[in-house]
Amino acid sequence: MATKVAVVGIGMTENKSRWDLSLPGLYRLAYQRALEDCGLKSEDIDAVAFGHSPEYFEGVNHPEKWCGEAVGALNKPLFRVHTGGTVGGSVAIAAYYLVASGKFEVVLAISGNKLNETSSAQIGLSTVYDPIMGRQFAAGAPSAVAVQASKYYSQYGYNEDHGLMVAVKNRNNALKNPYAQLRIPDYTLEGARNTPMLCHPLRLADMCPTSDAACAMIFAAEHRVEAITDNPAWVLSAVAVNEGINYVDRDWSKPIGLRKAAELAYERAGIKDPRRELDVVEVYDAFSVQELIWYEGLKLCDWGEGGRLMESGATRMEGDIPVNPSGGTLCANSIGASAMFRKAEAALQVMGRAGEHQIPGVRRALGHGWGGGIQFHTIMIFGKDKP
Amino acid sequence: MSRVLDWDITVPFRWTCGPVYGRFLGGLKEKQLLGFECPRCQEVYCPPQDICPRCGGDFDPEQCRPLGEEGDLVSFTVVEANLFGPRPDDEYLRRRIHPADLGEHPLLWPPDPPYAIVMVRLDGAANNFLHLARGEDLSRLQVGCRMRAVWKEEREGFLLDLDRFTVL
Ligand SMILES: [Zn+2]
Repeated sequence: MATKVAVVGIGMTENKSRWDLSLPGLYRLAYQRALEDCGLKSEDIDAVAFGHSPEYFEGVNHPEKWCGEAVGALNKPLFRVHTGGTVGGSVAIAAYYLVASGKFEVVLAISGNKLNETSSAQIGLSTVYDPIMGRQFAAGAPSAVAVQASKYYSQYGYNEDHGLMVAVKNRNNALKNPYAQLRIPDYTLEGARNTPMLCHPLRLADMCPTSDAACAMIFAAEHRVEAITDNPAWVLSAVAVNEGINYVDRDWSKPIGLRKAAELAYERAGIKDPRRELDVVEVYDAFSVQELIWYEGLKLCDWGEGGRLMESGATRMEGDIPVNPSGGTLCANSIGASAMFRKAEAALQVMGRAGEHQIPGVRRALGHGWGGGIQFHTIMIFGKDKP
Repeated sequence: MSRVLDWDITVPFRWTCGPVYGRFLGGLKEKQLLGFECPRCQEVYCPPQDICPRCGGDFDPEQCRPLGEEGDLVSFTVVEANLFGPRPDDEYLRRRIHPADLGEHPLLWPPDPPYAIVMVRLDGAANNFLHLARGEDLSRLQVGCRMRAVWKEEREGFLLDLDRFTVL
């Protein structure tokens, strides 16, 4: 029987360009904020799970070498995890496993990136494409997600307004989140429609910004939780699934890897009707249209119903299943920290500490992440009540 | 007080393709789109991977046959903006992007916009092929339309021996 585990502390940095902090300095800020959040000291942390997405972004390979001491990993185990954009989620899940295994009692998960250190994040993202079959014409991440978007819109009779509606919702939510980067007052559908087309059918408004940020979460074993905090977020389930990259009949608009992850996560958390039993969801919407596709993968609605769920208003802050009250990845994307921000935001919602974008009365919250060739998915579900 | 350092890294690479991709690229040189049949589950892939993504079987590089040159457009995007910043000159690309002993491939920088990235399901294949469309009226692209391969005159066993797909 695995040890029960809770999140006891969270540390975030604001998402923005940071010319004031080095890469280790940025990680250290998130680390110190997480320690302060729960009143722990460096010596209370037994091990560190460390994440960072493609090294290309800072041109610093093996960044855990440079950043180890900055996150307190001195004379203690440090594990590096890497799954591209998913990494923040994979790191959080790795830290959870380290505690759940019974081998460690208190583990730090930390992940980040300084995307502004490269002259072109999109050139870097194109080196994610293999050099034999595709890097020759890749235009970074937007070109791949645009292919996903065209398929989704045409398959279900939606159009680019459906993605832009997500952008308007999340950008307005971000006004309530001091950690978000894009906080634009009076953001309207009309304004979003007038932004330049970059990769058809995706406009500038459909895309995330370029952020420098780090995020940290501290996971503790059941018998240690009470002494640390009276307001933990219990881990109800943690699931990671890798979908193949080019398998038979792969449909980018129908993420079966996410669906599998969701079904496992709900089963382990005892959830039968996710739309009713979850109180808030944070998905990794690096591009607006993806939020609609992830609604479907997460079974908040049936396949093909994501656009209609958006139209219904159910996923707005005041709806019955709010999605991305923080503004999501669409308003803050450092890549390395983004999937952990989704988990950390979900945990904060459960703790009732999400600030202005807190949804009232949250008892269960889900945080998602994706990465790679739209293929890696992570899910964590947190609960107010001990499982 | 913080300070920002400005450096560059120049590292030429060479990439080993292995027997399966190697055979596939050899086919392109002969104007053939080779479909590779998984010896275990019999699915036909174009392009192939090193391992069958359905059953985990190993491909036999010789168990392949040319598919036709046509297929359905599964999805696409028209890249309308240069997301990379200004395109460096060819001399820069030769020095920085591609090692000289693999020949010169100025297109290892994406084409100038507008161009399309197309996802094509070739007739007889079980998976999708990501490639280019360019140099034509890209507004003709529609999900579901028929596409046909267009070859380069001079070919050398490289993905861009297949110059592009065009709308039929
Ligand atoms: Zn097979």
